[in-house]
Amino acid sequence: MSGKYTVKRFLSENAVIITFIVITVIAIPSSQLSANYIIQEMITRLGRNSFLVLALLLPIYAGMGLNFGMSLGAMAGQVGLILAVNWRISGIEGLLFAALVGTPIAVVVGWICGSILNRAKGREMVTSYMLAFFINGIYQFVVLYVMGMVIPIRSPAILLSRGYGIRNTLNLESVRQSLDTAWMLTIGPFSVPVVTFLVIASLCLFIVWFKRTKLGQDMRAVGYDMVVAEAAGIPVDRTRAISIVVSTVLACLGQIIFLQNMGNMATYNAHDQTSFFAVAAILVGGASVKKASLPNVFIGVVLLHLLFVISPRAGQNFFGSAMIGEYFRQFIGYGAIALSLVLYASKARREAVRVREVQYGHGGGKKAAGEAR
Amino acid sequence: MGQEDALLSIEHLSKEYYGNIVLRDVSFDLKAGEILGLVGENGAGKTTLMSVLFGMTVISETGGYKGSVRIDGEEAKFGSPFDALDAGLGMVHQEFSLIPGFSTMENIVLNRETMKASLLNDVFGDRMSLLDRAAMRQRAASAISKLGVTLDTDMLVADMPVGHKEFTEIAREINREKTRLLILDEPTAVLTESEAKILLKALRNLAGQGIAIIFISHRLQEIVEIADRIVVLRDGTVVKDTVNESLSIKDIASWMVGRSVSVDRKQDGAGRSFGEDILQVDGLWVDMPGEPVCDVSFSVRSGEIFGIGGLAGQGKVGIPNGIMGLFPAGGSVRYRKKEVPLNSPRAVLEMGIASVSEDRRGVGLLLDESLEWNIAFTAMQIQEKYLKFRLGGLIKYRDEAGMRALTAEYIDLLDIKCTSPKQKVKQLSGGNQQKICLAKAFAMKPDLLFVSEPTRGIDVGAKKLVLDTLRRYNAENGTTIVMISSELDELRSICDRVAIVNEGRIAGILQPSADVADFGLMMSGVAPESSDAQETAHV
Amino acid sequence: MNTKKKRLIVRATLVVAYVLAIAVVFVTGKEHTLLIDNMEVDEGRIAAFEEVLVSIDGRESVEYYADDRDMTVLKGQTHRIVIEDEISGTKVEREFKIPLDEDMVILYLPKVASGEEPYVERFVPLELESMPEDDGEIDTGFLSDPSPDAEVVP
Repeated sequence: MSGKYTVKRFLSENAVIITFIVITVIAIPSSQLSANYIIQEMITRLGRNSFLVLALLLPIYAGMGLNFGMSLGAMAGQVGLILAVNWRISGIEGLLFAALVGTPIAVVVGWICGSILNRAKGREMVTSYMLAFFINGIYQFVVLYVMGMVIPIRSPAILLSRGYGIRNTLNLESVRQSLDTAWMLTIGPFSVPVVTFLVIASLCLFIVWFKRTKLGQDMRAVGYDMVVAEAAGIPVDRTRAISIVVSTVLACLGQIIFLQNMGNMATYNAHDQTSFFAVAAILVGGASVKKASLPNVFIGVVLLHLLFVISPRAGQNFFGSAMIGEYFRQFIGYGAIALSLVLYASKARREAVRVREVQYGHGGGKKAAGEAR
Repeated sequence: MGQEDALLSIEHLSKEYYGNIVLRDVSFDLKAGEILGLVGENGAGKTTLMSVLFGMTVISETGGYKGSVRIDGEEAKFGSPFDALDAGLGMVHQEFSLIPGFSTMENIVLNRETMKASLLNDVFGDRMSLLDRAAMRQRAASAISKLGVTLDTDMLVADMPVGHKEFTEIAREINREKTRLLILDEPTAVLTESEAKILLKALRNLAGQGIAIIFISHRLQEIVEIADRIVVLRDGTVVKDTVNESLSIKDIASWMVGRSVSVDRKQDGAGRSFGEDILQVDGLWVDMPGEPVCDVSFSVRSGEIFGIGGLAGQGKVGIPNGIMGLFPAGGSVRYRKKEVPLNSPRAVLEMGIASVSEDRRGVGLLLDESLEWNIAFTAMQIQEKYLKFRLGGLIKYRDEAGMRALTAEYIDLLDIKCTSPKQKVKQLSGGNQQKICLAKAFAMKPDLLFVSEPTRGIDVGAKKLVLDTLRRYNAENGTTIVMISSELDELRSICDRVAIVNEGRIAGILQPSADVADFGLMMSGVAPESSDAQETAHV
Repeated sequence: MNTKKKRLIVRATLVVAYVLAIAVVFVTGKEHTLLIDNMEVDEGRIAAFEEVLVSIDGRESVEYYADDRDMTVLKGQTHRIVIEDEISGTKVEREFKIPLDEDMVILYLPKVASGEEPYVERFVPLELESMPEDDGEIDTGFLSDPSPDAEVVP
């Protein structure tokens, strides 16, 4: 009986992961991709995406849900990259330059975002989602008009032919994969971007360390119960804002790592789906709105991208059209988010029912015991 | 007053909220290591007294207080609860104030963690310090051992039995080095009997170590058991301050609820006749936060005014809310021999049951709408009154003229003070808003009406008007009324029978003429000795 | 007070270091396009090399014939050039600096060998200046070739 219960509970708690594993296992053979190819892709994509997904962790700890506002950080990183390309700063230096320029911007927009979310307690996710659209408008204004008109752009190669505004696609050749190739280790048939992985590993270490600091402890306390934390004297609003600032800065750095791997950048769209894919990944990895951990990040990146890699080919082989596979990517991404949110909500409801049964009972429970004297 | 060795002395403390006197010349002392049992009904001023002691901002925001609070003979004026904590006061609230995902240890040292500086301190400030978990665990363990109980320092609060949570809260207060005075507000309310026993033992332990304790409880049994001294508050005054020696629970209960003025009863139960049972409630439970109902059974006769009383948080307000389907509920409710579907507000309304919510401004009224709208709204929504139909009911119009007539009728009937029927409800006074709520319920011409806390927050004159209205409506229309109120006087003045709810159950049903002390005992969860008073109403 | 002071110093130092870091990566990471030109200078005053091996910053040597022109991208300001005349066998090694704000400079190989200064000059792509439309005299080397994508300049 209890064994049955735990199996059922395990299934319901890991429903998203299990669904993904099942779909993937079915789809892998039909994609006819070689194991070597898939593994190499996974290594590349882990390096490319993990940092961005890790940026989501802190706001979840602080009880602010999934920070869709991380695309603000991505925009800051892109501004940094545009300027690096503009001034022709190349290689690792170019990336560092973009990071150094992007970070202060990310801090500022992150603080604005955090302050706004503090006024929308309980509705952080949808607010941050909308906020990202709003800041996107400002970003577009800056990149499309201010750059070239107010901010002098030296490199005509990145300007639109009308003389101001940045082109649709920015060639990042000068910094392309300079982090990945700084030390590319070849293990058997696979090449591993060691430095990128070291950067990701140090972020993981930072997060583990951070959770052991006073601020990390406060953040968790705020995440569990704002009222109690406030009563204990923890500066709740400030703590929440800091978690968003850190997340935004990490998103800025993550976007730079992502784009250096891609080698080019869709100036006006690159950040659109940053938060979307990061959120999908962490949810697929088994995280929820309230709870997430480092393993969730990596499991999620692997599972989601595994499906991304094989779905176009599987679509090609199944339906004779790669487009269907492309369509599946979107479908799967949004589906994963929706599924996780729904499962979380129903789990929370079940939990409430269970608590009620334990606490008040249907004419039973603790109070009955207290009354039975 | 003002003994030399007093740790805390309260002298001539008075406090009023907007002209409403809540504390009147309260004075008492407390010595180190003494346990003071503080009892009083709702609204007796316990909460306000604690708020003053603890420097809650509501007090200063509403004009401060008169008199003085002295600690070690020195005048203490706290600007915030944190000042009070610094002065050595600790408070355990009725609601748990714990982080569910944290362990016992983390909760005990919450925001007072032991820290080791890290490299980043100089860059980002002290909050980058690392926690010294070993030291934290040790501190937590020493606080727990001071309490004299066994607690696992690493157990998560979410996994704990209720009793452990209570101990964790107390351990948190005594973990502060300075804590010398501990205030416990209804600490045993959620505990089982055995847990409560352990708690009382732990408190005696603490008192033995020189910590003074103010123990607030509605369980008079416990007060008698543990307190060295008992202070009884009634209507903001100390009616009794006595050493706990050979006191009976009944004495305390009568001090607590006793009124100097006798209750004004206009009607006599004998002169009234009732029909058969119209409402039968059996094994009702309601999951209303703060007012949980566990297992309530009673029946109400047709034409009766049935009162439900009890202390706040015991579940009396949960009963109408559960029956009306506003909170998750279970059990069986039968109305005119038909099962009432629970958790479905509309179905209940359609059966001819109406309610006046205790949350006037939140649930009861559309504050930004006119009187007309408010009065006609529910009737329009549920009974399709005040609507005109065109095209076979496809298009519905509001019947403005009908609504106006209705409103005029009730303005007249209830003597609602307003400038016009178009006035917005939020501009009216509390008493008039309450009348609107009643009018809104009356407009549905209900068979059965639940009225929760009808006189809360309105002045004396308005109270009388509201009660008279209810009584008249009952007499004229034969409407059965179930009235829920924290004011025992009110219940006793207009009800035919009064049920007292304690800890989510009906402790007993009394005639309004029964001894005041019996009501007090029932509120404290003690069965009255004179069992003849109980259930006689059923006969 | 003491920690306050210490923190102020640490934070100020970090701000300075941050700005400095931007400056450092800006200077060291800045790319310049270098045009390497092996044509006769001033209508034959200095002849071009017949065949020459050129290596910049220790990279693999590239061979140039007379009238060759090539382009490379260099990072940073100070660079080292080694040219080896394959006919005479003479080897010249020189160091040159590209000003920070120059995007494109031209290096004349014959001038390097002859020791004439300056052998590195600012290069102004003609089509970006007001270029006379009918000027047939202008060297239409690869630089002014109309690129397939009209927007990609140069």
